[in-house]
Amino acid sequence: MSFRERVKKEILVIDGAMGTLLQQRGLPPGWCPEEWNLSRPESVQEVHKLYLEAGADIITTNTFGAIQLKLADYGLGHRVREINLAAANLAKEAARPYGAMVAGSVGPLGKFLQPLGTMTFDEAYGQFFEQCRALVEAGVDFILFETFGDIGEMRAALIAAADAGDVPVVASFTFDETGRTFTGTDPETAAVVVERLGVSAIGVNCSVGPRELVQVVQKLTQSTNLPVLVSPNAGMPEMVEGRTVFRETPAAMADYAVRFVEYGASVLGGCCGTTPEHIKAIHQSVKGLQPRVRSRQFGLRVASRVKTVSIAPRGIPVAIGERLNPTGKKALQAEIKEGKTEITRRDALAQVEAGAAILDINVGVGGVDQVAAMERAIHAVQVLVDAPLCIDSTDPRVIEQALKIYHGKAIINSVNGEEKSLQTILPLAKRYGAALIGLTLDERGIPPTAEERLAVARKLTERAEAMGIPRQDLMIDCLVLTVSAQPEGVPETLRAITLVKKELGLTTSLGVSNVSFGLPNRGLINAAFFAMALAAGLDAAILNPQEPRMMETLRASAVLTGRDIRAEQYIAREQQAGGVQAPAKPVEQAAATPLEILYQAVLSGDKDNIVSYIETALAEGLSPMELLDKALIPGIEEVGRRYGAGLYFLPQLMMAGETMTRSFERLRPELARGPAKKVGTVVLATVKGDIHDIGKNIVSVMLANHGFEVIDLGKNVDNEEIIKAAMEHRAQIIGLSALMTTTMVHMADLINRVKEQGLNCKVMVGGAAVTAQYAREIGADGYAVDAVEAVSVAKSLVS
Amino acid sequence: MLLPQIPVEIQHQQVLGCLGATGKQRIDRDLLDQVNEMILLGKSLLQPAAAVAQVRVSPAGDTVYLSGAAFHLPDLSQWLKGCSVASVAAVTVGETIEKEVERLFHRGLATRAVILDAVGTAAAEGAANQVVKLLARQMRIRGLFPTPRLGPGYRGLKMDYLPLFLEMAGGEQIAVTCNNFFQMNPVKSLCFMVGWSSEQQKEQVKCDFCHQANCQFRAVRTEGESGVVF
Repeated sequence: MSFRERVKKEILVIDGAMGTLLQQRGLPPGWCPEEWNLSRPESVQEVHKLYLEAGADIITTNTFGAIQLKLADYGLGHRVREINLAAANLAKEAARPYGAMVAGSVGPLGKFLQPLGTMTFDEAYGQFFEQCRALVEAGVDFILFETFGDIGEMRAALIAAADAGDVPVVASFTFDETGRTFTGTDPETAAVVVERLGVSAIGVNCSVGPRELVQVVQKLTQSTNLPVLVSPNAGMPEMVEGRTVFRETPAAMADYAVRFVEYGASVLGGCCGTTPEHIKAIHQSVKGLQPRVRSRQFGLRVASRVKTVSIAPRGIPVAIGERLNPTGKKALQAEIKEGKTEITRRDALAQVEAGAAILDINVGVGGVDQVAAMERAIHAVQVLVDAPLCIDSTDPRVIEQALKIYHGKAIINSVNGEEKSLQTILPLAKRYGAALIGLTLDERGIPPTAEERLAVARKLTERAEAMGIPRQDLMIDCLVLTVSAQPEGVPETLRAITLVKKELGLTTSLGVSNVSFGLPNRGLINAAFFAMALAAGLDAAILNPQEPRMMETLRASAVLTGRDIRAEQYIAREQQAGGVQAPAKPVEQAAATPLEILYQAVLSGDKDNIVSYIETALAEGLSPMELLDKALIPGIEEVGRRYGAGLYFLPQLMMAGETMTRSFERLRPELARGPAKKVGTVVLATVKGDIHDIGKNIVSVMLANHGFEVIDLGKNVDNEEIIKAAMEHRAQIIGLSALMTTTMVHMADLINRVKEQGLNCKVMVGGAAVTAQYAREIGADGYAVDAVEAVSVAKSLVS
Repeated sequence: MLLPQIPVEIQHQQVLGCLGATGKQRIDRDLLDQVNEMILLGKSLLQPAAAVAQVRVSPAGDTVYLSGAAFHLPDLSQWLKGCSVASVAAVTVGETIEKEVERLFHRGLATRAVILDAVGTAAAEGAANQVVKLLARQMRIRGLFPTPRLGPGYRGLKMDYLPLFLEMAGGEQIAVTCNNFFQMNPVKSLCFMVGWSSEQQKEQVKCDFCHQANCQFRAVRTEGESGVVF
């Protein structure tokens, strides 16, 4: 009986640690364990026999690191096939008398794939393919990918294994105490991604002990109907006298094994620290138990590296963000041409923020290498947002590259009923484990009636299933025509949605905004049609989530169609939107005088309204100087006081500063006609070698808002240039900033030069590493701890 | 090891903390909107990357050898006590964000500029945390825990060591350099080391690099997953 058959019918016990037992047999530290398949075969076989005697139904080959990349560290990179064949033959020979099965062990590469690391998908694929081919050639019963912490790497491994031969494959991940893998994948997402890549079972091994794996195993068994393997370490590792030890007893491991069977696991074993005694105890406790049959119905599930999104026929409808599409967007087109991803990243974040559950990505710009452009976009977006992606292209090469590098289960947008599309797109979905949007059109175009569209959907379903793609991974787009041109088309689309769901049990999606093309106020038409489509049973829509009306329609319709049970999500969202804790800006008292209003506007940093308040005050006969002296300056001084007292923080200081800047801009013409009001001139710079100038910039804003003329020379400025500017502008003050002790030495040098040249100019200093004591030591005229103090110091220096 | 893109979480509270918020301030909705907007903008501008190298640690009295290079630093030797291996990392969020900060200042949008600058600082810290977490999860399998972050300019380690640390980490792979005054470029970058020890360190770390009493990095940190940003 094959592994695929046995694993469904009986509880299987798999062996425990190999490395520890080889070390007990003399494997020297730093020696390649896999090399012993060649030089010490009797020791490897002895370990196999110990586990078989203990009751293991499955033993794993000593090939965890027998991959070119790792063997190369020992100068054995050219002996991958030889070592794997030898290991598999040793295991098979040992297993034969016991009727046991042999799992070909394959471990991770130890390098991260792009975009987290530098290794490409193709490089990883090549590594895994070579090892898997050798194991298949040797005739292992199945390949066990174990201790994988990165879902992207597991995808490459599984695709390579599928190409290496027709052999069952088990994908086993390592999760930590947080219940996620190294790169953040949770058990459900791991299951969703690998289920479609042809695995016969999904597993969890290593990392932690059985106690810490309880929740992971529960989640895993609830997330898949596939058999589940559980091979924990013998407890959490501890270091004792320089050696790693594991303290979980065989009896405790066996107790947990029974619990794992109850949750639904059917292959039980151990990893680091487990011995034949542990395996024997597990065997005695679980043999004779029956695997728990799980037959949970899952709808369409797609996933990013860290999150699963479910689209279910009765679940809450899902918004697929449409904005990562250059059609009609010149700036995005230009960005794609230039090879940048700034707008792409910004729009991705904004759409997820607005409620998109999935993001559609399209890079269709003429004259651009779209394969490279898609690669850039996928890499940029998949580390930025947790929403799964929908790969939108008509070019199979672009789709394939995207599916290779995406560390999740994507949706392909789209396949249709045309033979050419079926023949090119379905194999890609099958190979890379993607879901599909199926358009109800074929060689004859979009069929006019709902029944004909249903026929195309049926054809798509049959062809997908024949390819081995489960029907729940197909989402049908019944296509909507422009209502202004073909008003009869809208009811047919709505009917088709209902028919497809009823007759085929599939989920449906729709590009909503086509309906309103050519009409004014398109948003209104789109929202109304969207509500109707949701009432007809629509499950997902490709739309702009940043249009509030569309997202409101989605949320409200979910309640009205009974898909948001007890309106839970609707209520939660409304409470969130209405429950902002922050107080609004203080509203001016109706009876307040114009001067009081101006004063308050500076305090609250109301730069948007300050100019209109000034106009009102001027219209009431107040002079510009009065506004300045009686409202604005007192206002900014009060802001400074509050900042000093810790009642305001930096952005509030800056908001008040910006408000003052606008006030000065507005009043400049009037002030210019009156007597000069300049307090003094300050040349400001960050010293040579220092490239941090945020503090200096803040001081610059504050000085300007207190009537100083500021000559801001920027950062990393030579002392000579600073002195030259001070002379040229007849500055009363030179202000210097330095972040670190390594650069503040330039301050002393500048002060010496000022003195040597007899400049009538004071020097004030500040910056993170500068202290009052240091300022005194170097002979500075003033020192300020922050921007507010800098203003008063500057004023005192010019008075 | 090169990590060309690191997923970075930017916490709203952390950004406010970088800006000096202490909970005493009354923050109105307009300002909160600006903070949210800048976090969103900042995220789109981030290019977080890291270069990490593993070095052997061999203590010998007050001297500690890192991959053979001797450091006559009792403090460092003390911090790395019990560690046989350490990771030296250079982490950056790229220079786009600092250019945007400059641009905003030049346009007179000082509030947005200072907020975005804080977003960059929080992001650099977040990226470093992410790197340490990633390494910690791998090391945990071997029963090893990270020490607090150690870096040039901190805890007995002079800034002069920065070029050496950057070289050890492989900072040039992600275009992180430092000038003659040991200032890193891009500005929103960090270079640090964590040792790996079988004992989980409970000792608390408090940055005292500068005299800014309200700096968020004065806050107490533990276990290497948060620490000092320069």
